[in-house]
Order: sequence, then structure tokens, then C-alpha cells
Amino acid sequence: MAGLVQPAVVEVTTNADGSGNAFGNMVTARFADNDVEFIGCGIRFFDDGAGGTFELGFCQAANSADEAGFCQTTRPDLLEAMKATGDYSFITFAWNPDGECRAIGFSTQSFYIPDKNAK
Amino acid sequence: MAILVLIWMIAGASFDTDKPWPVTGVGDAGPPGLNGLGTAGSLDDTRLRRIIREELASRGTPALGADGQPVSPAGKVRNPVDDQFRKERVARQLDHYKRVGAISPAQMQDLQQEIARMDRASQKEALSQLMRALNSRQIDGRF
Repeated sequence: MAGLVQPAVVEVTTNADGSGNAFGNMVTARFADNDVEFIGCGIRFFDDGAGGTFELGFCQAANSADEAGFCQTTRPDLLEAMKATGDYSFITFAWNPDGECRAIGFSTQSFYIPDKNAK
Repeated sequence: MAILVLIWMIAGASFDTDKPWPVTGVGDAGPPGLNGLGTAGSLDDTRLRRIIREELASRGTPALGADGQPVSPAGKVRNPVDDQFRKERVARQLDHYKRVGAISPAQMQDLQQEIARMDRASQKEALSQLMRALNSRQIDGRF
């Protein structure tokens, strides 16, 4: 016994208008039996050339069929939310037709940590 | 409310630093919304401009410099010629990556760096084009 383990493969849904959503667990994606599946979010900070900083947050994912989804945001509240990601997070995000993030969620649970007995 | 008061002040040539707010009684330190900004006669031109910029920024309206040009959040006046040049350059880069069908991590980094230096409206437009191209797989790449 090693406690509950709940893998969550990456799923990506895209709509005809360009919007979509994606979710999955980072550990499951990392150790998937393929070389295309991934999911994650990040923030980049750039000098804006005018004495300020341009902050760009993004999430991206691809499922086992290499269907990918991306979103970006410069909204301070969503950028703050992106900082909540953890090493073993389940991630979910959604985007509008312009690729702007419309929802971002993280869940860090023990059952997303890799099984110590797994390969 | 504060912005209306500031516009009223400008219209009334209230920038005269020697001309204090009329004080009509105890606790009457100026118009509503300006409490905490100092009392009679302490609002100089520079300070008023800063306040106006902050008020406009808080409402998502581009602030204007003394020459009427948009001011960046950090307070520097943007150069419209540079902005236009950068906008065209980013558009050319995006077209190139769409033609090639792919963007490398290094190219993505360079493109984002360029977008970071654009004016806000152009940033939004360029990011929209980039995201649409990535999500449609017109450009194969990752952040």
C-alpha cells in the first residue's frame, strides 16, 4: 500500500472558434509513454524599454496525440494565480479565441505525487 | 470623482501654485476626493500631472505626456515612430514564422522580448496573432 495514486493524463479540447481548455497532471505527463505529452504554466519578465517591466504569463499543454493548447495573460490577478503552481500540481486552464487565459487552476495533492514503486 | 475634480481644476487654471484652495471652514481642505493630497496651495503642476496620470492609468486609459503622446506606465513618453517601426517588425516576424510553420525556443524568446517593448494596444494585437497561430498549429512551437 502506498496511499491513493490518481494519474491524470493531459487532455486538450479545442473549439471551432479557437477557444479551448486543457488539464492534466504534470507527473503523469512527464512519465507518459510518449514523447509529446506535457503541461505547465510559467511567467516571464521583460524590460519594456521604457523603464518598466512587462510580465507575461502563459500555460501550455499537449496530449498524447500531440494536440496542443496555449494561453497567455498579462492580467495581474491571473499572473498571481500562476505563482500557485507546485511540483506535483494538477493544472487546468482555458482560453478564448485570442488565446487569452480565461481560467487557470492548480491542485497540489498527495495522489499526484509519483508512486515510489512505479518504474 | 477625483478625475472630474482634476479636470475642473485644469479648466479653471488652478495650476497657479500661489493660489490656494478656498478654505471656508474647519475641516474644509479642498474638493471631495482630494483629501490626503495636502491642503491649501500645495498642489503644484508636476504633482497634478502625476495624479492625473495615475487616475487615467487606474481606469485603463493611456496617460498623455506634456506633448500629448502616450506615457508608459513607468512615466517615459513613447515614441510613435519607434512604436510603428516595432509593430511592423513584429508583424513581419510573425508572418515569417507562419510561412516556415515553426518557431524555435530562442526565436520565441526574441519575439516575446520584442513584443514586450511594444505599446499596449500593439502588444495585445501581436499576442493575439501569436496565440491564434500556436493554437491552430499554424506555428509549431512552445513558450
